[in-house]
Amino acid sequence: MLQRADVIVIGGGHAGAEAAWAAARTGAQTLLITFDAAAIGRMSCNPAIGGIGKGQMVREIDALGGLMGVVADETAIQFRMLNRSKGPAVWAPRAQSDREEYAAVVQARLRETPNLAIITGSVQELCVERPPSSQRASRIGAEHVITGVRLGDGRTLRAASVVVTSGTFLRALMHCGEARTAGGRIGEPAADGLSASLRSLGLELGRLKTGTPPRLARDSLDYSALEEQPPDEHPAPFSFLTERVTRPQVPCWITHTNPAVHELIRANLHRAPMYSGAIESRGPRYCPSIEDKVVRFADKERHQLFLEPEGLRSDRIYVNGISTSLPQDVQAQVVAKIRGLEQARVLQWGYAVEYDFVPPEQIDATLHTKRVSGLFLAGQINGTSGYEEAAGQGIVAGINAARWAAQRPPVVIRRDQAYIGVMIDDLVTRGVTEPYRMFTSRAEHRLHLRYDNADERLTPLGREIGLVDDHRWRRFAERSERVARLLERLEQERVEGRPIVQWLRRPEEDGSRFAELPMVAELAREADVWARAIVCVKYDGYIRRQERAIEALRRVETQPIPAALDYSTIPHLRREAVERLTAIRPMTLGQASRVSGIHPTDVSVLMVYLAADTPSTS
Amino acid sequence: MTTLPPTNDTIVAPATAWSPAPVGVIRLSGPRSLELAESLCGPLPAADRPASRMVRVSLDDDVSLPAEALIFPAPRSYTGQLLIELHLCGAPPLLREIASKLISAGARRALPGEFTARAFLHGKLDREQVWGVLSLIHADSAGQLRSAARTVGGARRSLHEELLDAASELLARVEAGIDFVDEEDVSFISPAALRDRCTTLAARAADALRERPGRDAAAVSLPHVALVGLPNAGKSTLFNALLGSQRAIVSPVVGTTRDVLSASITLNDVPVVLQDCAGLGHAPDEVELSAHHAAESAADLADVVIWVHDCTMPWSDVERAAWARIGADRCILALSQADRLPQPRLIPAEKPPIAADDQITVSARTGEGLTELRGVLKRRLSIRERTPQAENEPLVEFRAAILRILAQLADESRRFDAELVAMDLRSACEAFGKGWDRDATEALLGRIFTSFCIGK
Repeated sequence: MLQRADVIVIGGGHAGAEAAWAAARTGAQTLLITFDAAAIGRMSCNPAIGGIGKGQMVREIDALGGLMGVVADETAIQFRMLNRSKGPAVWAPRAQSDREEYAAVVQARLRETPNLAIITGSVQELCVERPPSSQRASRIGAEHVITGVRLGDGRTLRAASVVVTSGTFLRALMHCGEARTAGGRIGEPAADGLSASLRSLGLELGRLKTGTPPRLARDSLDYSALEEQPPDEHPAPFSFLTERVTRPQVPCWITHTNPAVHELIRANLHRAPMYSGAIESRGPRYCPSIEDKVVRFADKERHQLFLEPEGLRSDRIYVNGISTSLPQDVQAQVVAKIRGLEQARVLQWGYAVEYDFVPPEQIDATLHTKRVSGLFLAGQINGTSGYEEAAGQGIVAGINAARWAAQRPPVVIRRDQAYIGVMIDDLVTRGVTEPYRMFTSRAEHRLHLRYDNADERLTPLGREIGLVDDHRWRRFAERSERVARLLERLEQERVEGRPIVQWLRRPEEDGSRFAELPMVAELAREADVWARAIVCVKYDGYIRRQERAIEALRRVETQPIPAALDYSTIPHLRREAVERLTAIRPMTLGQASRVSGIHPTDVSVLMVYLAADTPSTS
Repeated sequence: MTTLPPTNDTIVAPATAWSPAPVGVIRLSGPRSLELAESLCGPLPAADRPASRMVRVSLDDDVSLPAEALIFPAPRSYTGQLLIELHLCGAPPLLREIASKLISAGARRALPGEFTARAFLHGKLDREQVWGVLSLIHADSAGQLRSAARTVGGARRSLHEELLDAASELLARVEAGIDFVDEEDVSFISPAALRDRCTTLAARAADALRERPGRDAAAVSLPHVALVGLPNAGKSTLFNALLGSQRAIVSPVVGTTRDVLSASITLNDVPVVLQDCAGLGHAPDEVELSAHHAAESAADLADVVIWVHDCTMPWSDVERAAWARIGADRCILALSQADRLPQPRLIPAEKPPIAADDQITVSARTGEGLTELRGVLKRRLSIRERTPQAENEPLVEFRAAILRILAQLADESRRFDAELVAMDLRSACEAFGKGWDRDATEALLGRIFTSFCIGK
C-alpha cells in the first residue's frame, strides 16, 4: 500500500473520478479514497449525461483529455442533439445512460489507469501543518498546508495535495415525508467527520438541498398509454475519440400529471419537509420539486414527465419531473393517479437531501482553497449541481492538485475558453445562492463556446498539460484537416450553378439538403464536423465580432494581480473595494472586475496601479 | 459583458467646460478614430504629426456645422493612441447628437476616466499625474449622477426603465427558448410576437428621440449651487445678496418643487443655478414636510452646497448630523451675520472640520466676504470639465439594436436565430448604461424561473 502519494482524492463521484483520472494521467501518484469502491461513478439522480450548456461542458472535458465523454459514449442508450431546430451555435448533445454500465466503465477505466490506487475507507480528518516560510509570499491568507488525511480506521495517508469531492455527503440528511435518515444517498452513510474537519480548519460552511424522484419497475408501466420519444436517427457522440455509436438505442416515454395529482399534493403539503419547515436550506429554482411546481404554478393543469429507462437490461425507470420529498404513502398515490403508471411498482422512493457545502468565494480559480495550501475542492461541495458541472471542476482540480504537488504553475481556464471557465469564474467571484447549474445564458461569449469547436478551444491546452495522449492529438489534427477539406469542397462544389457556400449564407438555408450530396457526405458524416463547417460559413460575421471582442479584452482580462498585493495601500481605491478584493484575492484583473461590489472606476484605479509596476505595457 | 473595458478599441466622449462661451469638444481615441471622424466631416489628413483642419460636421443631409478637427497621431497624443478632437460650438444637445452618431458608427462611449487611463497605459502620464485625475473620477461620476438625477427625475428615466424592462422580458423569453427546450413543451415566444414587440419598442424609442428637451432641461445641465442650513441662518438674505441686481427667478427645476427658490445667475462669468432652500435640521411638522424634503433633495442633487451658519450661534447636534449627511467634500461653509459678532471676533471653535479655503465669513448687510465667496464658488465649479448628460445616446443605441433584430426577422422564410436575437437584445439592454454582468444574468434567470415552470 502506497503510504505517501502526490495527490489524494476523497470521493469517487463524477468530480472525484475526473480529478483522480486527471491527476494520475498528468504523472501524480494518486490515491482515490471512497466509502465504497462499487459506488465509484454512480449516477445518484437521473441516468443521463449532457443537456444544454452541460453537453458543451462534457465536450470540453473530453477535449482536455478527460473521462466523462468517453464513458458516456460507451454506455449511452439514447442520444439526442438538443436545439437542433436552432443554429448549430447552440446545439447541445444529451444522452440517456445505462446507469449500471456507466459506473462499471468508470471503475474499469480508473482501475487500469497507471499511478492510481483506490482505497476503501472514510476520511475523518484532514491533516495540516503551518505553512513553510517559502510559501508565505505566494499564498497570502493560507493558515495551513495540507499533509494528508486520517482515516476512520486510524491510518494516516500522506500527500502534498488533497482534493475533496464530497458531493452531498457532508453532514448529509435525507428527508422522505416525516422520516429523516442520516446519509448522502439511499443506503449510504454521511461524512460528518470530514465536515467537522473542514470547519476546524477555519472554512466557512453553508447548507443546500436537492431532491430526486421515485424509480419505477419497468415491467409495471402501461406503455400503450404513454407517448414514445424516439432517439436521434444519427446519434452524435460526446467524445472526439468516438467514431461510431454501436450500442442499441432505445426510446424514452412521456406522460403528464393531472389536476387530480395536483389536488392530492396540495392536500398533503403539510407533510412535505420543504413546506412543513423541516428543510430550510435553498434548493435549485431550475429543478423544482413537484410540490413546488404545483404551488408556484397553480394554474397549470399538467406537468410533463419523462420516463427514462436506467439501462438496456435494468428493470428501473427514472421519472424525470416529479422530484419529491413527500411521504411514501403520498408518493404511491401520486404515481397511481398518473396516466400509464396506474399499476406501477415503486422500486425506490423519492427523497430530498440536505448537505454542507463550502461557499466558493473561499477557493481560487484553480479550485485551491485560499486558507489551506494543497487543499482543493470540486463538485457539489462548491455549491454546484449536476454530473457535468462536477466533472468539469474535477478535471481542473485534478490537474492543479497534481501541478501543486509537482511545484508547477497552476492552470486557469478562462471564460472565453470554455463553459468550465465561465462556471469556475462565476463561483469564485460571486459565490452561489442556490445549487449552481450551467445555462448558456451565463456565457457572454456563447457563439464562441460551441459544441463543435471544443477541441479547437481546449485540446492544445490539454496536450500542453499532458492529458492529451498521442492518439487524441492525432485525431485532433485529422479532424481539423477534415473540417478544412469540407470547407474547401463547399466553396468549390456547385449546386444549381452556385457554390454551396453561397446557398449556405442565405438565412433561410439550414444546409441539411447538402449534407447528403456525394462529394460532401463522406466528410459530413460526423455531426460535429458538419456543424463546424456550417457555423464557419453561416455565422462568420457574428463569430468574428465575438472573437474580436474577446481579443480586445484579453490583455486586461489576463493581467495578473500579484498574490501579495496589499489593496489597502492603493490610492483612491474605495474602502468597500479594498474589503471585497482582499476577501476574494482575484488572480487577474478580469476576475477582479467581476467581484460583486466592484465598480468600473475601481477597475480603472487597479489597472493603473498594476500597469505602473509593469513598465512594458504598450 | 463584464465591466472590464478593452484598451484598444475606439472610444468617444463629448466634453464642455462650464464657461460663458462654451466650446464643445468631441474626443475620439483609438485605431478607428480617423475613419469614424471622417464619416461625419469628410476626408482628414492622415498625418504623422499633429495637424488641424477646418471642416464641416454634417448632422443631417442638409445641415452641417463649422468645426475645427485636430488630429494627434499615435504615439504623440494625450492617450498615446490616434486621437481626434472636433472643436465646435458647445451646445450640449448638439454634442450629444454628434457623439451618438459616432457611437452608431462603431465607437464606444468612454467610461469616466478612460482617456486618462489610456494615457497612463501608454506611458503618457506618470503615476502622480494619474492619481490627480483619478481622484476626480469618483467625484466626477458622483457629480454626473447628481446631474442625471436632476434630469431624469421625471419622464425620461421612466421611459428608459420601461424600455429596459420590455427588452429584458423579451430576452428572458428568447433565452428560455435556448436553455430550456428539452424540459418543457411550451413555446416561449413566436417570431411573429417578437417582431410585433420589437416594432413597438423601436417606435417608442424613435418617438422619444424626436422630443426636444425643454427649457428646464437646459437649466438642468448647469451647475447647481444650493444654500442650505438651519432655519433663520441667513440663507435668504445671502441668496438675495449673491443675486444682487440679477433678479431672474427661474421656473422650478425638475425634481424640485416650489419650496425651493431657484435663480439663474452668473458668478464671475460662470452660469449657475442658485437655490434657496427651506431650513434643514429640525423635525418638520406636517405643513413643512414637503419644503423639508425639497430642501434635502436640492442639497443632495447640488454640485456645491453653501452651508450657511449663523456665526453667533453654537453648533447643535442636529446641525452636525444634517451637515454630515451632505459631507464636507461638496460644502462651502459660509459663517453668516459676521457684522453681529462682537470685536475682537471669536469664531466658535466647534464647527465641523473643513479646509480653511472652504470657509468664508460673510455679512449680507455690510457686503463683507461676498467677493471671496464668489471666488471660492468659482474655484469649486471650475475644477472639472463635465460630460454633458448623455440623454439620447442610450435611446439611439437601444433603437439600433432593436432595428438589427427587426432586420433579422424581416424575412419570414428565415429561421428564427434565437442566439443572434439574444445577442442584440443584450446590446439593447446594455444601452441603458450597465454592462452585462452576473447581476444581469441572475435577474434574467429569476425572470425565467418565475414566469415559466421549468425543471425536471
